[in-house]
This record gives sequence, structure tokens and C-alpha cells, in this order.
Amino acid sequence: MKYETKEKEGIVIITPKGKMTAGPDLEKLHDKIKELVRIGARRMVIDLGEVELMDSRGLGILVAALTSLKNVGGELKLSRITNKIQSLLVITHLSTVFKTFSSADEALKSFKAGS
Amino acid sequence: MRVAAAEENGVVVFAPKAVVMGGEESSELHEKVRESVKVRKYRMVVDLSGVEWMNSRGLGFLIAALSTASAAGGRLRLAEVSPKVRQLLGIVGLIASFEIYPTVEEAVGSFGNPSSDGRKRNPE
Repeated sequence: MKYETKEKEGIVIITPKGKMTAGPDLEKLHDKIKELVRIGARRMVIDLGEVELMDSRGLGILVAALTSLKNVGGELKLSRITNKIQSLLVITHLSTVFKTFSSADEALKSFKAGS
Repeated sequence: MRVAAAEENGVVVFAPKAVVMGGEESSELHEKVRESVKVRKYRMVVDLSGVEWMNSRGLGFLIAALSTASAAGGRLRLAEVSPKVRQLLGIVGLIASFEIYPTVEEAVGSFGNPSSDGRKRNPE
């Protein structure tokens, strides 16, 4: 798994690509997110449209990112979640935990609108 | 071993040994849940009596464990959740994602009849 990070008007957008499954790459992504929060990131979008596969640990990283942000009064939004990821969220009763958007732009807009 | 495992009445009870959960014991908990599902033990309780607090990593692994159990049609329930952990689950919005019981005994008892394997035949 690789990922891209960019920043738009104070909002960090992370786009993981490939397989978001257990392994060192996933831990690196988690470390990166923690580092971003440590240096002051408070609003983040994880754009999942290029994730081919997500396992339980990938889901765990999303919750870890959400936890890191909520602990400092920040917020995480998800965009472009695939049907498979949606079913994973449903069976774990997590579908209401994340705010999800059809695109990263829509997620950005919602931050600006203050919702 | 950082996570003790015992079986009570057909229910596997895992007890992570860490005051602050977020180290090796949290990945070990997920691994043990995977092993349990592999040997068709689908009823699980995580006894958090020894855990005062958990960090984002610990909570991430707890969700991974929940996800592994649920995806296999199993059930993972929590017992003895400390006020600080409960508060964290509240902040993150995860209270409703877990079935939480005051004691291990109640969590184990909540599964009912020990003769079935506890697997949901039609996972949501």
C-alpha cells in the first residue's frame, strides 16, 4: 500500500492506494497520521476511492486515526468508501461513527461549511 | 504472554495485561481473536478489568478484533470497562459499536446456551 498526502486550506487529505491490510505499510500510515496530528493537523480527510482491499486491521487504523483526532478536538471524515468497506462498517456497527462523503471535495466543503 | 485466554461455558475470555492498552498486547489480542475464529470459537469476551486506559493504537486493535469476530459471524463482547476507557469510547463515538457488560460473568452469561457455537447464521 502507498499513500499520498496533500493539504488544502488547512485540511489534510490522505489517499491510500492498493491494499489497506495488516503489515508494515499500514503501521507507517498510522505513524504518519499520528505525526500530522502531533504537529497540529486537526481536520483530516481519508479518501478511500483507491483502496482495493481493506481488512480488519485497515479498519482499526481508521478508528485509531479518528481517536487521535477526536482526542485533540479534531475531526476525521472519509470519502469515496467502496461497497466492501461500507459492509465492513455495517457489520462492526461503525457506519454511524464516520462521516462519509462521495468525494474528497465534498468532505472539504463540509469542513468549510462547519458541519 | 500478554493476553491471558480462558474458556468459560463455551465462551473464550481474553484478558489483556496492560494498564494502558496500546502496546504488543493489543496486536496479540487481535491475533488471539483470529485464532479463536479459525478453530470455530465464535463467542468471545474481552475482560478489560486490568486496563485503565487505552491509546489510539489499542483502540484500533480492539476494533480490528471486533471486525475479525463480526466478519466471521462471531460475537465479541466487552466486560469491566473502566470509566476512562468508557469516556474514550464516548468521545470517539464507539459506545454503540460494542456490547458492554459490567462483569465477565454477565458477559459470558449473555451468550446463553453453550451447546451451539454462537455463530450467527446470517451475519448482517
